[in-house]
Amino acid sequence: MAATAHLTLEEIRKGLSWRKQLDKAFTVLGLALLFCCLGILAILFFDLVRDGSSRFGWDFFTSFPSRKAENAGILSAAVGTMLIMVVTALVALPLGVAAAIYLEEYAPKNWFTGIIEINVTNLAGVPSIIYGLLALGLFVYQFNFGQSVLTAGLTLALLILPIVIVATRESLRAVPKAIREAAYGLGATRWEVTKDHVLPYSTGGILTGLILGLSRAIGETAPIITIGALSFIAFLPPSPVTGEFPFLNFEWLMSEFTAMPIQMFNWVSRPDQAFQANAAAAGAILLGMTLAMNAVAIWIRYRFRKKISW
Amino acid sequence: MNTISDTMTANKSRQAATMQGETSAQDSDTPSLSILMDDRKASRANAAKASAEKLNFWYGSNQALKNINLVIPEHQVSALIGPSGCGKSTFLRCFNRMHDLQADTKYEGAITLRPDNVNLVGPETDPIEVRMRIGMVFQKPNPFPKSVFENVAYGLRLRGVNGRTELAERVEKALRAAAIWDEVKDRLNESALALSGGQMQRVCIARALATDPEILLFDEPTSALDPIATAKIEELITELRSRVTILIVTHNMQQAARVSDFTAFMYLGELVEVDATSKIFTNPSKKATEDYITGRYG
Amino acid sequence: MLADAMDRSDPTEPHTSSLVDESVAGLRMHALEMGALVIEQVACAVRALVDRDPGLAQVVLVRESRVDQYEKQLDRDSLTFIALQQPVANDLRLARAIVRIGRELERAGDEAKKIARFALSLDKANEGDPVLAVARQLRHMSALSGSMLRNAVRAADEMNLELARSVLERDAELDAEFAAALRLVMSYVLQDHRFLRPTIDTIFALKGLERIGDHAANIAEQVLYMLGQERREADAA
Repeated sequence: MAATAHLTLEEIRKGLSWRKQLDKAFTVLGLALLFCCLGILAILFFDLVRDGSSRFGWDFFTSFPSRKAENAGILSAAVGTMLIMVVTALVALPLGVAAAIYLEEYAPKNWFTGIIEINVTNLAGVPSIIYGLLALGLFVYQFNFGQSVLTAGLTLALLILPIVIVATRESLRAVPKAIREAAYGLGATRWEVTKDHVLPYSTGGILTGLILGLSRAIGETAPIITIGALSFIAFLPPSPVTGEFPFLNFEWLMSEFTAMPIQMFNWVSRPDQAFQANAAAAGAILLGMTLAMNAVAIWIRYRFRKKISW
Repeated sequence: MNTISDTMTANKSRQAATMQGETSAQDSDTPSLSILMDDRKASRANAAKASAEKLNFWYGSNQALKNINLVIPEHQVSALIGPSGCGKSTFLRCFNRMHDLQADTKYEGAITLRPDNVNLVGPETDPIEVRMRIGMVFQKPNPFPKSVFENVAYGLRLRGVNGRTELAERVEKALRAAAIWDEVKDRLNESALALSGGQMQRVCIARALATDPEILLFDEPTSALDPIATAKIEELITELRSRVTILIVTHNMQQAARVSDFTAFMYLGELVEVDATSKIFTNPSKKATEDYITGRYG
Repeated sequence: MLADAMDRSDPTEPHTSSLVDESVAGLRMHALEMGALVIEQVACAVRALVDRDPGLAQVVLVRESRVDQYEKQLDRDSLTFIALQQPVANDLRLARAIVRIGRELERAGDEAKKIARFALSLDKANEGDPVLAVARQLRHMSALSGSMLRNAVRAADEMNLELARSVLERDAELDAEFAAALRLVMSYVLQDHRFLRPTIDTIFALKGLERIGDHAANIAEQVLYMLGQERREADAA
């Protein structure tokens, strides 16, 4: 047969085998790297669990820190962490969502908003100790909140604000323009469009962003050390729910506190070897909490994505 | 099997039913093709619902519409045709101020809405008010990810209608007007996204109709639909004429020929020719129009 | 380019799609071929009549079936074109005009056939034969109607508005010729009753030529229609 422009089957196959090999090689490489990373993480986790295995038990969760390693527990640290996370979430969510809505829906696209946007993204990269210093000067001394749960919550809220803003903006952007146009076409104001259509469909993404932010905040040590979290707290902050009217008090906000990372740090730096086990156990629990929060975030995203398909 | 005269009689009575209040001498008992011609002639006497006067429009520094003067007759279907980029969608979207959602747009001139002579594109006119009087159906069906009922009710809720019975009544009325009541009456509370493309588009039409707009704008409403769905919507458009003035932009010239009473040809932001559809497609006055509709783009 | 320099409609301008151009060209080519055939038929039929040539008359009769075939072909092709290409405006008018032109040509061909039949049925020319007497008028009318037909077909081929209009104007001339020839024949037969039958045949031949002129005028009207310049008729239902 005379030479033609197209390739014969043999030629196609010859060229293809090399390309297929490259394809396979990349798949193998990717998988290898993935297992490497996961493997390292798994090894760390199991190492922690093994080291702290002696301490796991109901006592560990319900005891206060003590001079004796066997009696030391994470009650105050765990409660402190949870209370701080509550404050962080309650502050970061409205602020972050409102800021993102403003930037995405309302702000005119000019140089000023451009600068704001750049700065928001940059804030995510600021070292967390800077937030601690800011909080020390502003919240602890200027506003006189003291070294309290409130201060810690506000600091960490500021820390995760960029994450919430960015996640919210991404979710807002994911709402198709067609939906907005339809709503505007019916005579809705900008707020009605946002409230009735954009926000409801972004909830999944927003919550995911918030939880990812919290799972980062939960492990932040530097800022809360800076604002003065104590490491030996043998008491719990006052309960927010009391037996008498008005059934809620906010004294716990102003109370001194400790948190899991602090407690871990404290135990690890003790010369007594026995406390290493405590630290390992606390670390394993902290890691477990983080993984659990991430899992919840993924589940929420999955649930919301199923409900709404554009 | 219908004979020709059966079909003609049916057409005649249907048209008589839709042409409420229009006078045209239908005194002959033998129906003939002239019915359609009389229909069109009578419609030429229709009042104007809106008229664009010296309308210019800019996207930034780019002038997209140049000195458009066009009358939109009431209770008629007016079609806008022209090649891509000629400005027909741009012109359509001036009617409900959709351009205001983007930055850096400028209107000049007027689109006067009768009978109260409001200038739709005037800076003194609130775009939200305009959109509450002028409805729009988009190219790709875009129902909200809510139930069918909530989709159609949304416009009503915006206008403060909240009573359950009243909402139910008006939603049903709108869905009937959009010729889709029978298909969705048992699934009102199911998601609108579960419907087929053609059904979704009719729900979108119902949604726009629920608020009794004075003009209904269609932006290439069937370009994403299959032929049967397209035919149903074209049928719907011709029926809706009697209750609302319709302005439709379409790429499909045969569609413009089928559904519209008046056709306007636009090119490069200018209005080249506008006339009765039957004249445009048999013997247009401008060579540019003829070249376009016969496929001589050079 | 979409220029509106001239607002005259031009159905011969090429389309963006060459398939459409081919279809239109096919239609016009067929119409032209049919026109040429019918022109030839008319000329031969008249010559057969005037020159008493039965052989030529026979040729005309045989070729008549081809004229019919052309007309059917044109009708079919035009219908296909309309169904498949959904033409509008000048293309649509062209498709409809082509069918009507085909019909007019077919009828002109019929007239030629009838004239050829007369030519066959006539005996050798005798003294006093009315055909001889009006031979001059016959030749003149056939030249006139032949030229009208030729011009009409040419006008259709070239989309020539002026030429079509001139054909329409000459129709009156042809009618006058016919009236004069008719008077002459009538006067002749009043003198001598022997030639009644050939006289009647001659009158029919003259009428046939006049009708051929009418068909040519109708073709010219279709040219005006194609160019969007049809005469304003009274508003018919």
